[in-house]
Amino acid sequence: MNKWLELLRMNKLFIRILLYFLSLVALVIVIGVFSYTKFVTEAKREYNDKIAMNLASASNTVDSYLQTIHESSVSFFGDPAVARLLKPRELYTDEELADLYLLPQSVGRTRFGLNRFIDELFVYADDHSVFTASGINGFDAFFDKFYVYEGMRAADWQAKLREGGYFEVLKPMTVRDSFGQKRVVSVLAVNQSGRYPAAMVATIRVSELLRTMDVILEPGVTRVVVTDGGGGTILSSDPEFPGSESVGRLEARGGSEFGGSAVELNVGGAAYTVSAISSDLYNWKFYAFTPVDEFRRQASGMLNLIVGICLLLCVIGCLFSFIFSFKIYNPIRKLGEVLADKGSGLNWQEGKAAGVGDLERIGSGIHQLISYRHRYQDELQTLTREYLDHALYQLMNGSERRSDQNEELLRTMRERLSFQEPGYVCVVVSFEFLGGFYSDLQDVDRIVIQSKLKKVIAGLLKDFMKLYVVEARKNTYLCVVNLGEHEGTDSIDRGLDRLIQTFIQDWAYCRIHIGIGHWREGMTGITRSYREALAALQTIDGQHPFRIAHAGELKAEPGKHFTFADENRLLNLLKVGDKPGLTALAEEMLDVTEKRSASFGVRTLLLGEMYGTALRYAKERGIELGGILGEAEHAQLAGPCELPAELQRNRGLLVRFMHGIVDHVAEQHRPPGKSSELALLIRQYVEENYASDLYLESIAEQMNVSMKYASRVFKAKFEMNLTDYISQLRIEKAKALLAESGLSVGEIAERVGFFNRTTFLRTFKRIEGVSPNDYRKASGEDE
Amino acid sequence: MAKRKGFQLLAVSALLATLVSACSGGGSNGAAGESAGASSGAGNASTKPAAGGTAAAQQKVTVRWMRGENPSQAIKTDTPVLREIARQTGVTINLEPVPGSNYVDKKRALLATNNIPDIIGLESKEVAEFAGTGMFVPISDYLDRMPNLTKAIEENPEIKKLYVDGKLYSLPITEQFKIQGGKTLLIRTDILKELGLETPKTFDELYTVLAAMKKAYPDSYPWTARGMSFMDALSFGMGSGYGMTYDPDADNYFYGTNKPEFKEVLTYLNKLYSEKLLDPDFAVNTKQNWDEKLSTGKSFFYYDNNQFAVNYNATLQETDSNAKFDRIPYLRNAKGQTRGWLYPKGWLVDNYAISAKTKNPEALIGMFDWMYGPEGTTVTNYGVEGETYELVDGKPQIKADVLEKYKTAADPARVMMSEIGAGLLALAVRVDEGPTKQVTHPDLVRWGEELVADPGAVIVPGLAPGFTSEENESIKEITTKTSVLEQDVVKFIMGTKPLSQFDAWAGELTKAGADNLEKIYNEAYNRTK
Repeated sequence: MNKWLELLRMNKLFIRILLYFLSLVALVIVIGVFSYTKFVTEAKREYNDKIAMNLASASNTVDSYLQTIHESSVSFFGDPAVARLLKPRELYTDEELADLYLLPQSVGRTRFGLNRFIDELFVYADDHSVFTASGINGFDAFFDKFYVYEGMRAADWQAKLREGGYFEVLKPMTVRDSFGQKRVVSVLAVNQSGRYPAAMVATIRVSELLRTMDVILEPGVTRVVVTDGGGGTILSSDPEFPGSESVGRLEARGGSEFGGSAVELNVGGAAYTVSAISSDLYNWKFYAFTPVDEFRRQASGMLNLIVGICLLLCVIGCLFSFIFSFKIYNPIRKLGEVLADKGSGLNWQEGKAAGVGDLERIGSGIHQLISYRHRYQDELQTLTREYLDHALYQLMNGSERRSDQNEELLRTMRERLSFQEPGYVCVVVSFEFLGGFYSDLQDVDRIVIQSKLKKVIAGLLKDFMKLYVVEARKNTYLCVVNLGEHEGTDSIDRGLDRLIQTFIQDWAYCRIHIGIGHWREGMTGITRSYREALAALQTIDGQHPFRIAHAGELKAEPGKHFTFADENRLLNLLKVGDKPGLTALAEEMLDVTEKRSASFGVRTLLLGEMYGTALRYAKERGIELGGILGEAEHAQLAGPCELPAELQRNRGLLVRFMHGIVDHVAEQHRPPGKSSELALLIRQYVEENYASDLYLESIAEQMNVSMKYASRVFKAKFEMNLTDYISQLRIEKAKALLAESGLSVGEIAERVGFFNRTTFLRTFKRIEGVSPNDYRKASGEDE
Repeated sequence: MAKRKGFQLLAVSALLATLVSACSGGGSNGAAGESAGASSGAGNASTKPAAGGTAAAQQKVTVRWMRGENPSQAIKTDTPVLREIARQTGVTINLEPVPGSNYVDKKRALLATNNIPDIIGLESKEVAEFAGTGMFVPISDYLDRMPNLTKAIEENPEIKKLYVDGKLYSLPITEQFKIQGGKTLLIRTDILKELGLETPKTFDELYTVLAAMKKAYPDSYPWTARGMSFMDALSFGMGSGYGMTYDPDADNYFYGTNKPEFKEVLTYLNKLYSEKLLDPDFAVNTKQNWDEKLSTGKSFFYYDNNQFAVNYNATLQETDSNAKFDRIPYLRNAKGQTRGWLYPKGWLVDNYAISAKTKNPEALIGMFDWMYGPEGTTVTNYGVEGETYELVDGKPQIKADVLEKYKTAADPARVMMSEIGAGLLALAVRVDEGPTKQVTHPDLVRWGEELVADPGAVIVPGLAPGFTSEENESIKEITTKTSVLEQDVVKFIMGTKPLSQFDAWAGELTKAGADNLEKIYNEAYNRTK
């Protein structure tokens, strides 16, 4: 029992769903009850109408019988032969006696008209003889032997002649004749107006009268009682039925007033519906008693049918309800189970106590799950991106990678970037921002532009090739293009052309130089192609605003001059901090290339690669580059060398740079800052310097992190974009100024660090929803 | 969810539809069910496998059969005979008896409206009157399939009188065995003995005897009658005739009423009437009243059907064991002739006709021929072998236990026949009065034998000759006139019209066409001779 209760509690939701469905089944029962009630009422009404109609017709028929007898008696007594011959026997003359045969003929003629419904017709005028259609009968013999009334002797009939009314209907009596025994109603017409009183008697069998009510009596349930004007019972279809008593009670209740409609009466313990009709002519009353049980019996068939249908529908309904509930409940239950599982990481069960519906809780649970998924997807994407970036950095720098790492990368690229082709082409896109960029654009916008550059490149090129864009250096982007061996580079050219076309109006702000590597196979191919691209980039004249260089134009095979082994040696030396070793390596490398009479460009490339390796090492160690070499020196190192002197200078710079790194590493001057600290630092910097151009690029540089990283750290800490934060901060300050000072909008814009009014107005409107002037008005009204 | 709801709605509307149809269909369904039940019931009845040998080619039919009901033998609608007919012939008969008093009206109404049932009991003159309308099946067309009827016609050539314009339209009631009856003289022999009177041999002696009886019992009217039914036999006995009469000696018909001999009959009766030897109500007595007078000692003599006397004796002997009506031989008339009045063979006046509208006349023809044959005759007169009769020396006899059952009944023979549904008054067309003979009073059987043996025994023709419709028209025209005049017969007897006017009256009858009537009769008779 407890187990069941437990089950019940557990499945509360199921039961609820089931009950929803079952409530529809209840409708079936309502309809069933309604139909049954309607049917019974209808049946009762119809039946009573029918009875009343038939009763009326029966009463009309009986009336017409009586009337016909009456009329026949009038014409019979008016017959001259009858007038002459129907008189006491002793008054007959011989002549009349001889004509006596005419009298039975007259009776016969009268009888002919009545034959349809009468049993016998006889006439008499004395106590000597009775005439029938077939002749004369002895008076006593007739009533004692031929047509014997039970309850009326010959003398009584004699008395009727003397005292009888003009027209009288006698109560039903049993009569015996040669045909047998029957109950008849005798209709007596006495001719008092003639010289001698004469009587004509027509008898109607009771069965004949009841036959007029066949329609009513046929089903065998309804009883008919007929009473005369005095309330005496003339007819009763069922001798057992206490008709006269019932009628008496009915009349006592004023029953005669009920006209056509039926009345209920209790007879002998059973309820009856009574219909009554009054005949106008002879004042007979016809009552039909129908047991109420009869309606119930008739309706019981209907009841069974309805109950049957309802039951069937209920069962089907319940079954379907159960199935539906089950089908709906199960998934919900599973959802609940999944949500309730501790592994889901949701505190789903806790919600139960709050009394919130299961469904709502499941809904919120799913909602949570979805937001989790989004979050994790974002994180995954970020991680993947970082992984790819990192891996590509490694490749760019030609660092030694294990084969499993390569496979992992390959797989990731296949899955994430759908890189299916075996080979790659590297394209290096380098942006150089000119002075106008810094002077004409708001600091915030600059950050936005610079941070979006990668996406812009990817977006513009993705229609032409499968590619992945990595920020190789500041403002320099590596596009790794996945290409089949025999696919031409036309699509790359077209894509780059489009890129350049996009920026062609911006020649005042930036220069774009693009280097394209050869198609190379495999992971290591990326490294090679990248170097080729870099080399190609070196060949471009810095003064040209937009220029594309193909690696094909280089004759050398740069990859051979700075191998992974070389790179490893370099890195090892850096790690060890072997300054002379590093100097020696740089010498050696350049010497080797020189001996091979490699081109000048190749040697520059070699230097660049060595620089890159060192740079990467420094970055990995979080070493602040500015502390080692000036910006110009870095630029020189990264830039191309055109003269042998420059090469030598760059070699010196490189050696110095590497030595500086070694020194830094030795110092280990500061532990790696926590990201939140960094974020706080950034905010502090912003809050202190918002009024002027923030040179956010420089913040990042000052803190030895990339702008991107800084932004991310900031967002993770404060849950908003750094640029948004800056803008909001400025607008807050502006609002304060708007409300408190009388400064013009332009002045305020300048104070809070906006280059121009337009940018201020736009930003203000975006954040506050109103223009600065409106804001000032509104705040003024507040006060 | 919405879909599920939709399904529920569908279910609910389906329920509604079911209910509505059930409501509206309730009444009619019930009725249909009943009628189906009824018809299948009927089907069962008619397809019940027949055990009889003739069953093989039977066609199952159900027919309505209407006939008049004689008060002395009630007609039952579920009898052994009906069941046996259905079993042996495949014809299920729904018998519709109509009380005799109403039957004339009833059948006239049906005939006039051409609305007769499959089989209807008619008198020969009605058949002749309506045969021309084509409402009856012409039986003679089927005679080649009715060997038994053909044989019956050969046995009793008088049946040919039933032909109307050359065709037989009705099935006559013929006889196989009949207790001979007749209009004869029945007298209280105990009173003759009591008064020391001789059995009268002439009409004058009869008058003497009646006068002596009146003298001894002054309150009585020694001779009573039930209307004019005795007149034909009496007139014929006295050497005259009442209306159209067949003269066996001349082998022709004559109209007796306007002949001088008839005056003697009237004179004789007038004498009896005026001396109060004849019941003054003789012309208007009902049969019951007449019975009453004879069975209560108010009258001692009648000249009518001898069968009634058996019942009178029974009643009389309840109070006086000596009292007895007995038959006396036919009297010798003034011409020296003795002329009795024996009932004809068969009951050719009574016929059955088959409606032309019946669905399967062949089946009915087959059934009737079977009824004319030995098997059918036995069944329609004795009932079912083993149940109501057994074969004794190869002849059927009602079983003793059946006879025992009705022994105490008022009229044992008739009640028994009524219960079995057998005999003339049920639906036999070839009557064998064997069962009646077994039950009935021995006197009746004896009288029958005496009647046949009587020297004056004359079997009167059962039928008038077969007339053409033109002849029928003429006859109707003439009798309309003569019947008015014939009513004066009572007046002559009662003396309110003096006998001196007889010749003038007879002249009037002649003028009304009596001679013509004779001519028509004899011409018709000669055609069928």
